[in-house]
Amino acid sequence: MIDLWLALPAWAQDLAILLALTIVPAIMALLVLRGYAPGALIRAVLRRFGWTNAAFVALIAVSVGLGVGLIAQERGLRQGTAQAADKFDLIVAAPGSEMTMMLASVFLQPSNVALIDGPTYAEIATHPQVRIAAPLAFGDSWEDAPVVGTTGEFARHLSDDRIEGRTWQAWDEAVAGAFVPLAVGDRFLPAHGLGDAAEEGVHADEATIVGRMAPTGTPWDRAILVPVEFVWVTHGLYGGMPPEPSEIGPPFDPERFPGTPAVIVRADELWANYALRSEFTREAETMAFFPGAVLAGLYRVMGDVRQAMSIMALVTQGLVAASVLLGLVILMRLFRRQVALLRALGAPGRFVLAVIWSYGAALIAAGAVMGLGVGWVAAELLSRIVTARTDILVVARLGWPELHLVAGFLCAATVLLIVPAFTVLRQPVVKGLRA
Amino acid sequence: MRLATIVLAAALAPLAATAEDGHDDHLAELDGLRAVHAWTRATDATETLIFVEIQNEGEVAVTLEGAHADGLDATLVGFRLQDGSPVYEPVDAVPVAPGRELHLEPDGLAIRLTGLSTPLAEGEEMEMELVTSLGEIEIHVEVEAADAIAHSHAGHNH
Repeated sequence: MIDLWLALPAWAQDLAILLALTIVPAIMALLVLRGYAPGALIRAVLRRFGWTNAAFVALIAVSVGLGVGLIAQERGLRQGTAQAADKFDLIVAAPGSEMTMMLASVFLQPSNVALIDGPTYAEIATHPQVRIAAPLAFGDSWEDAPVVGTTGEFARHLSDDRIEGRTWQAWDEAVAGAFVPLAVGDRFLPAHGLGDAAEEGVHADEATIVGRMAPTGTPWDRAILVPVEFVWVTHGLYGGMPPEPSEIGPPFDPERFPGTPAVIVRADELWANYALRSEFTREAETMAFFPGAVLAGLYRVMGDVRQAMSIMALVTQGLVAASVLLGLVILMRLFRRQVALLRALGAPGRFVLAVIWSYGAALIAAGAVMGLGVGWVAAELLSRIVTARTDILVVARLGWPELHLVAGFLCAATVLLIVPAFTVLRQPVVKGLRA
Repeated sequence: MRLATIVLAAALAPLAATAEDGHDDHLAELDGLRAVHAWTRATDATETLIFVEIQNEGEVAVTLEGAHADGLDATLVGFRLQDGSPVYEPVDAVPVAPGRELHLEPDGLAIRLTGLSTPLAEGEEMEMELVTSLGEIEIHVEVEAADAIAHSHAGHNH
């Protein structure tokens, strides 16, 4: 049986779990309603206490929706950060913190790190398995946009060759990220440094925007990419005259190469990445790492937080279910007299039980379904806020975990609903008629 | 005091020898190619990942081509993130240059064994062979905790 379950594709397992969770309320309904059709009476009760019922459904929807939104958001954030690192197969840098280098290279959060020298870069770039070896040069900005020196080949790789205009052909041309407020043809003068520490007027060389990348869903959408030679020239690191157009890009002269904090390496084959990692992991010389693996390590640490969040969401749903049932008991007091009258007129106890259970189940089901909608809206809003603040495209869609959460809540609440229904039945009829 | 030290040393000698023997299991060698600290995680699933550090101390490049394990399917696989979730994909043979190391480790390269019929419990051991361009190296795989991220002796020199 376990083998059969494990042999099922993931979607089939998810569907089976969803069906198992939803079939329980369906069986409960069949058992409770067997032989009775209390629909008209339930509709009348729903109409009679319309506002109270609506408030009850809204409370369930909000509490279910928050749990749904939180789980969807966590998954969206994980997928967004993984997507951002997708174009960065392998990074070679001077030995240090992989996390720091990943944040600098992938998420453009530069920090002071050691540089790789020209001969080492040349060795990486000329390795037979390397297709792209893009040096990075950080440190300048224009308004809030970091100015990053690299190669035209990397700009095309990063944008999947979706560049409006063209890539640079001269040392003082640039390609803007999708959300940089500069148009093709605009000129800009970079400031030295980033953020509050940026110093205007330090550099004298302007660059012209000649292309704009399509959105990549990464912080590079707000960056301006320039030839790495532009950064070297403006910082006086390249010596002598600016390079001629024919001298832009690799191969770089190892003697003139002033150093780079990181080289983004791309190979054609997955195995080659591992071979290159082995080749360029050298004690006290270079470290080579996969940003995806660093992120996976981070997710593993975050996994505990995720687990805590999931448990919190489950506990919250449990509390919501308990509150709903308690609320229903209180709600029943509103029509205690009507229930007692039904029983006094000779309605069988099971019919009364069916009415009370169906009424509660209708409220819970409506709240749970609306909760999915609230969760979707909450996830959308949170995604937009996170995307705006981090420049990482976060798309939080509802998936199987959210459906399981809602179905689980529906399952538990409708089963436990039988308790308040029986409680109402046990109340004395005469006392109820006098209520 | 000195007598007590001698007696204690004599009493501990067999234990030390055993520990040394245990440590010998951590290393397998073939013509300068060393496989150190092979391990896997405790699991009751039908597949598992094997990790090991490979050190090429020879003069020529060696290619890791795969692995053999009795009655099990062994595949060299590489890690990547797909939509934020880890997946392992089959990988062709990987060369190791002279003087370099290739680490088969979590979130990286690994050997995937499929077809396990019994659970692997922490503390158990299993034997298998790495297939390389030099030939096959028999390695001794230790089963670590289900949530381990490294061999329990990782960092020890051999």
